[in-house]
Amino acid sequence: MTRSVTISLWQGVNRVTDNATNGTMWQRMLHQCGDGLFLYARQLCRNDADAADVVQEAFLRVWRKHANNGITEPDLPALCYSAVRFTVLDRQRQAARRWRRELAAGESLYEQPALFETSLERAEEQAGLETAIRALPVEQREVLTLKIWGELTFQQIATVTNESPNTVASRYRLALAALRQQLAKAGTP
Amino acid sequence: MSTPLDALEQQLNALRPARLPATARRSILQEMQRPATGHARAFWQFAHRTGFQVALAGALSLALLVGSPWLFRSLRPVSHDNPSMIVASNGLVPSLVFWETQLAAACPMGENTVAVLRSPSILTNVQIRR
Repeated sequence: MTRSVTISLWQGVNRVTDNATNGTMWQRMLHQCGDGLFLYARQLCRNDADAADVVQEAFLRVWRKHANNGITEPDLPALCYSAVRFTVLDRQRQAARRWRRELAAGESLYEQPALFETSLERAEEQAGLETAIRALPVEQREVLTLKIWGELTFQQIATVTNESPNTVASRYRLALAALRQQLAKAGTP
Repeated sequence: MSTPLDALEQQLNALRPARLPATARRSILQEMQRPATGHARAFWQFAHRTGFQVALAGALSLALLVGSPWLFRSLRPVSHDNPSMIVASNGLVPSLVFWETQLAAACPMGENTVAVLRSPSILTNVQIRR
């Protein structure tokens, strides 16, 4: 593929996302939260393809339900994260047996792609952080993702995860402490 | 004063999540930009609202109330002996009687044939038996 074709393709992809900043509330929401929703779905799904499907299904589900009922923009992120969680649980319930069997057979064979965009100058630090994040228990990782990259409040996270705000806050503190401990152990600054 | 955990939070904030694949993003945008077409979509948009469901239930109840007398009247068995009742009970019957007369004039029929022609229910039974 020639360089000009690559550039034009990349511009085409960017145009889809960049126009969103001037579009409707829903387009802006996808632009701002799309990556965060994908990250959250990846924490809960087995692979990236499933996670992308989940984000698509969840976002459109929220859009269909709330497109005409006067919902405001600040309420949307929590609803979208909630929908992602619900969609994942719904799918897992449907395919629980198959999922368990596949997990037992091939989880170690699946190479997990990076959770974050890598920058060359901070690659080592990022790799350390990502390893530490992956090592966290699922509940703590979920709260950390919703707080840092979903930018939700503890109250909103509590609603999404169906827990009390105190539990959520304590999980967040535990997650940060565990991360710090693991980074210190690995010698990452 | 910044604590070590604040510094860690800043470090985490600096990480940017990997991008949602462009195909998924494009599919969502296309789905949202697709114009709402057809009555089915309009119906679906309203169908989950309580007000709409109450109105629909009310309309169906009203239709049942208004329609039930007519329904019972039309289901009541018609006397086969009295041709005037047949004429009165169903708007279609006069034309049937007319055609029956025409047919009788064209080819003479027995009593059973006439009875069959007069009563759609008997006609149905005869057809079922065949």
